Amino acid sequence: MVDFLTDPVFLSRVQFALTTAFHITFPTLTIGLALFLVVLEWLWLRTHDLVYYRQFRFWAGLFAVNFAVGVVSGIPLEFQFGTNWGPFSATVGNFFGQILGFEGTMAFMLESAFLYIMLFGWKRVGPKMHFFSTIMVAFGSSLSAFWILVANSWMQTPSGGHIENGVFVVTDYLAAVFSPDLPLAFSHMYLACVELTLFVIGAVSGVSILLRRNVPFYLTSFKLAAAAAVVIAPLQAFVGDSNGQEIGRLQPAKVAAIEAHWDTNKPGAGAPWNMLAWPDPEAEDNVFQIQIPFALSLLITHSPTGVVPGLKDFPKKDRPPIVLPFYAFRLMVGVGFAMIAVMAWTLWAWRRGALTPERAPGQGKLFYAWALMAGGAYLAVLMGWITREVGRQPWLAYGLIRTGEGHSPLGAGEVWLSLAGFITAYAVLFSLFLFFMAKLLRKGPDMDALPPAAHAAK
Amino acid sequence: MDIADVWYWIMAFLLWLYVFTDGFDLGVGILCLHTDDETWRDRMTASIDSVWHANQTWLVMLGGVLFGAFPLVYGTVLAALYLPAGFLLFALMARGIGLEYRAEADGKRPWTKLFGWGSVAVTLAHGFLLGGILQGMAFADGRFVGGRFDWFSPFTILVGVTLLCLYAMIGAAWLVLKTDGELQNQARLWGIRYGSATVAMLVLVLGYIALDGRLGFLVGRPGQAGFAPSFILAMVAAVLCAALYFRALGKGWERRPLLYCAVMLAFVFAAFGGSLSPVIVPPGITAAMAAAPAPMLRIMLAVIGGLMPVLLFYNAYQYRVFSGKTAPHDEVQ
Ligand code: HDD
Ligand code: HEM
Ligand code: HEM
Repeated sequence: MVDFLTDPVFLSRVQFALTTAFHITFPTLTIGLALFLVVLEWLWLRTHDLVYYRQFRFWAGLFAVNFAVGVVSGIPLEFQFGTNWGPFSATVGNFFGQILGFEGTMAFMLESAFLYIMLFGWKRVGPKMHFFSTIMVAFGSSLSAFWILVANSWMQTPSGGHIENGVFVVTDYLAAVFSPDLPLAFSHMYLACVELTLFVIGAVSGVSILLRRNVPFYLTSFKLAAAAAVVIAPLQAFVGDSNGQEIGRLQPAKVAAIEAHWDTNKPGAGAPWNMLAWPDPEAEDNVFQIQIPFALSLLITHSPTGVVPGLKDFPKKDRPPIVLPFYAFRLMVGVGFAMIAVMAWTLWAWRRGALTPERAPGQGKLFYAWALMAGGAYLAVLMGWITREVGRQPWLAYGLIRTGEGHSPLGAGEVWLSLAGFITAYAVLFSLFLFFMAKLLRKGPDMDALPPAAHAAK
Repeated sequence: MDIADVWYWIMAFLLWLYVFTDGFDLGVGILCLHTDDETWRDRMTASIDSVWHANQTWLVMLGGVLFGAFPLVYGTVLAALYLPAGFLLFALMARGIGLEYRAEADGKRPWTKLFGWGSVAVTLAHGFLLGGILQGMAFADGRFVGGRFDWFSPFTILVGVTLLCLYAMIGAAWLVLKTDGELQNQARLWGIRYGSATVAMLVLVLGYIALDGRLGFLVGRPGQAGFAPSFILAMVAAVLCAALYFRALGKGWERRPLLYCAVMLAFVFAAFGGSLSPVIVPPGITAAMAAAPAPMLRIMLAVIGGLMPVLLFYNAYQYRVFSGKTAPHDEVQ
């Protein structure tokens, strides 16, 4: 352990993990909320029902508070590639850096230029222009998710070129951008943003209903969120499962680690799935395990006797850590299925007429389940990323550059200094964020808000 | 011109755009520390509310473009300047949070202070980074062989103070445009004060360069004393712009001070950029050495070059939507 604390590479890894984990907490919600705002404004323009205008203003407030933290925490990430992962940047920058350049040019610029019109431009632009701005903000944030996943998926499955004299040479540009991992990784992440947002909207609305604050207002947003989540939650499990199979093909060592699967199953015999286990990397075995026969072969290959390579097939120096991906993955999947269960319950309650202004404030259990799932959604996102990133080890770009090779020549002292700075700054930032969120939620929607004259007329 | 040189000048353009636009945001932050009147500060911060974030995004874009076009610079220089780069990141956080949460908070004072001192810190970090690169970095075989604290020198401190004055000067010009009444008069005074300070600091910086013969490469005379004629020409043009700036302030014009700041800055950039080109990290790393392979640069040029006019267009549109004198915060919506 003491070795770790003086190892600059390890410290930089911790720093990257902490800072991205912190950052991702905010964009996931803003990406989803931006889409929700588009829907609300569209409903407002179509119906001219004031409730949608007020919904827009309320959720836009939430968006703004999250956006602020998303932005300030995003900037350190971009620069960390240069400061802490310099050799990696120098080697692959001509492609990887270019993608981040595209992200800034296409996505962040769009978002930041139209954001203020969306938030504060009601009096200054007409309805069409305002709606256009909202769409641009949503489009920009989705585009930023796309480009960052292009970059990250390329790290998972580097393609389209090779390393020559210490520089990544691109031979097939499109193959590099659309690396094999991208389609499913992006779909899964994008759905995660939407799903997380729906559960946050539902949880905020549900708890407010329980507190008997603006019940009709929050019922509207709750129903919108619930109706969408009925579709999204099962879809997410399906996409996640496809993702798992894809990873089985592309990064077999990662899947073996995720499943604590040591020995390749013999042809004709199915690989069992470890529901729970405690892996022991030294002994190359699990201390204990609860298995379901054939299940792993079924999950990964969709055939009961499909061959799934075990960890022992890989040299020790190419094996990722096991305990972390194993448990992180199970937490994520657990949350995913719990969400589906809550959705089924909600649908059932809705059909039985529980979601009327009179009866809804009595649905304590249902709404608390939603609140729990909102927290669970954040947990699932973080656990999913931990599975993905820790499972990629010991490679920085899978099969191309090892993590240690990509690190800048820094001393442990310097990295400690920045790491301690980030921990302190983020603790303060997060407290402030919670304070302002609480303030906003306590205040609730402005039920007297009226749109400027130009927007009110049909 | 080689494609690497094209990117060299695109980077210079982006840097100019960032320094000018975020320069007035930072300037407003610095000037916020000069008054205790919270209603003034309300109007001052409100004047940049709608644009500061987009302005800061030029830095994000600059980072991405530098990463893609000159990976070697990105991967070695930032690591060598680890401490000031980290300092910049924390300072940007402080500035951003101060400004964003000031609008939400009931008690404004601490947030104004955070915004103001955050702006000062960002500016100093700019100075250490810019100065640290301009004074020359010790590289051998593509590895940084200098000291961890090379960026902290009399020269970088001079650059930092110059930037403080410069940003405050641009910030004052911005306030002249966006405010009226007594605050505008005060902004004019700030403009004259900080404009003079900027000119004085520039002279000091040039004097320092002239005295320290090792810095000759900055002014087109590697290894010798004196200044290259083209450098002198561009600097004279810059000083002329400064004179026009003072005249515009004196005449009570509202738009021109800001305009002259932009042009002055462009001449300063042209002076130093022209002297250094094709060197990108002095003394010895040229743009061609540090650049990405040419095919990649061409792809990037097609995409980012094509988008640039669009970006500039909608940024301009946003300025137009929020043009005119700024009302205090609560009247904005
Ligand atoms: C609301 C969030 C959420 C939920 C409910 C799920 N996931 Fe997930 N998962 C993510 C959020 C997420 C993520 C954070 O978005 C990840 C990390 C990177 C990525 O692209 O998606 C991810 C990654 C990820 C990976 C890829 C790991 C890698 O690429 O190395 C797999 C195999 C799964 N997930 C599988 C599932 C399955 C089978 C689920 C069943 C319900 C599931 N996920 C639910
Ligand atoms: C946003 C959610 C993300 C989370 C929570 C996350 C989490 C992590 C974790 C846990 C590690 C440490 C792994 C280890 O060293 O064992 C890590 C490392 C790293 N991640 Fe991510 N990651 C995220 C997104 C990204 C993205 C989008 C990129 C690239 C575009 C990226 C690039 C890296 C790099 C360069 C490292 C350091 C090198 C390494 O340890 O392999 N991460 N991340
Ligand atoms: C290591 C990986 C990452 C890097 C380098 C990175 C970089 C950045 C930067 C520099 C910003 C500030 C942009 C501005 O000034 O407007 C930012 C904000 C943002 N990032 Fe990231 N980011 C990373 C991971 C992610 C991931 C995984 C996502 C989503 C899938 C994401 C989505 C966003 C969005 C939507 C914003 C806009 C601010 C907001 O909505 O809160 N980022 N990011």
